[in-house]
Amino acid sequence: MHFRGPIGRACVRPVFKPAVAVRGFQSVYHVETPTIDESKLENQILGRAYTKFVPEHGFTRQSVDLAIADLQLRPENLGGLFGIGLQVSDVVNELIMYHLKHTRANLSKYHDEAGKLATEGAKVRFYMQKRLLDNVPIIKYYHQALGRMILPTNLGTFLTELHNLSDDITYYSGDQSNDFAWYSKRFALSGAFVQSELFMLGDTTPDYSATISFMNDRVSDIDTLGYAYNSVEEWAIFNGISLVNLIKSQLARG
Amino acid sequence: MTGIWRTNLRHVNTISRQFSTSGTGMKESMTHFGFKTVPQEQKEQLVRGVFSSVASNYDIMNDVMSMGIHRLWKKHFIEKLDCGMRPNSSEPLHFLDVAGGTGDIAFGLLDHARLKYGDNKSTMVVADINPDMLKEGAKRCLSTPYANSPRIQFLEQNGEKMDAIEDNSKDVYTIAFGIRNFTDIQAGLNTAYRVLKPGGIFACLEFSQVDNQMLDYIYQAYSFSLLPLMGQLIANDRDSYQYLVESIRKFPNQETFASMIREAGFYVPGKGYENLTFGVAAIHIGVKL
Ligand SMILES: C[S@@+](CC[C@H](N)C(=O)[O-])C[C@H]1O[C@@H](n2cnc3c(N)ncnc32)[C@H](O)[C@@H]1O
Repeated sequence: MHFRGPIGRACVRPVFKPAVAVRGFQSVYHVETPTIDESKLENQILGRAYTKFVPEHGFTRQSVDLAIADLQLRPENLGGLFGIGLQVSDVVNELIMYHLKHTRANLSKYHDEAGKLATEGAKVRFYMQKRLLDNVPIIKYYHQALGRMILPTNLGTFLTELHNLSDDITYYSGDQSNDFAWYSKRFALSGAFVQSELFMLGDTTPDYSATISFMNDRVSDIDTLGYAYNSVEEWAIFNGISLVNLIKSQLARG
Repeated sequence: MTGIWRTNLRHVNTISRQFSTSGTGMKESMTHFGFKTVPQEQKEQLVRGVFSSVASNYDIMNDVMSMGIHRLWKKHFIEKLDCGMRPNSSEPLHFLDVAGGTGDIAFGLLDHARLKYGDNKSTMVVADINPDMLKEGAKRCLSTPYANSPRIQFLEQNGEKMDAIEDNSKDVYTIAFGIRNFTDIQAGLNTAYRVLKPGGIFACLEFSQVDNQMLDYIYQAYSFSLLPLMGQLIANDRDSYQYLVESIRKFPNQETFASMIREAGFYVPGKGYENLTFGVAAIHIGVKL
């Protein structure tokens, strides 16, 4: 922390360095978080619910029950599967987590395309765009999900997943920072991502072009301004406080 | 059927002591009766004796063993299983509660399905090896909404075999504080797998291994010293209580039991169990796919 000067003073530094030409994905800081094991019954259920029923019935228990029935099983006797075996307090939270993990894992499909882009900044914007558009099938119900994520009991788990996303995106984009910039960059991206998602809830432009340009601006801001975060703000973002307030105010506006 | 074993374990003690000292010809088929070693076929008889001798004091016994918490555990078990035929469904659920004794779990499951889902159709078989326990259950049934209903049936059955229950016929198999008394626990699990339909669920509530050394020490001290004494005071039947306590210690720990459930063929989600009260008891589940 001593590189940053007195507490409260903004620390500005360039963010996205040009991507290094030849390199695999490797970083001491990046932890491969496990993706979804589709061979497991519970993930098959959540996956079926997510792809087939959430677009119509939202993030609800009903979507999960319909998926169980769709797999030729009975929701009427399988309550214990989630309740006891996995000790999930609420299956709807699991469904939301499935959405987050599934869409994050989906990013790996785009590495080839991303590889053609010249700069780290361009790659970040590209991955962010792909990730945002993955919200489209369920966007109608996404406010339900956001409303649940910011509940105090859920916040920790969902924030971790949000930071995992920022971590993956910066990492896939060729970030090699290994000092405190590592954290700052990810917090900044998490913030930009959530702001873009909230923007998206009210976006009526075809193909969500307004959301995409909103996101591009946010990411470019980070790029040109550097991380204008002092440690207090950073702490607030890490603990989700500013994100929670942001989401709350947006959801309240409808 | 229960013969001399019904009265009291004091008989049993003398006999099993004879067996363990006489030695010859007994080695092939010895099994545990608490910490005593007895021939396989005999354990069934012995267990029957224990539960006959405690049948009337049954609730007090459970209260003592779990420090009164077993009622909450059972309630939790039933709620987490959350079974019930849905209003838009045409097919009732078929429940089987094994070692169902006094019917606690059976009535609880039916109540949950009725009150939460308006299920007035699903059926329940309560199976137990001990006719005295079943009689007690049938008696209690008279004061429930299921009195004289064809939906509920009490059957004398050994849970290891269940001759009277067809293959692939049940949706929910429950067993609470029963499986540790089985002579061959794996056979009991295999039988559970056999009688369940594909998609059916196996759920077991049982005393287990406390996951914290200090607590474990306290609980063991409690159960080994205080409990048999209280048993004697309450039921005037120290040996039966001693057996029950020892059978808890002999029961495989959570991980081992979960792997036995897998061994029977079940799909076990996650780590497969939930500890209750630091592992004094645990709920295990498996799904037949
Ligand atoms: C401690 S009681 C539990 C009764 C009830 N499930 C409850 O939780 O209140 C154990 C029961 O297991 C029964 N039992 C023991 N061995 C059995 C076996 N092999 N097959 C079926 N029932 C058995 C006993 O007769 C007794 O009723």
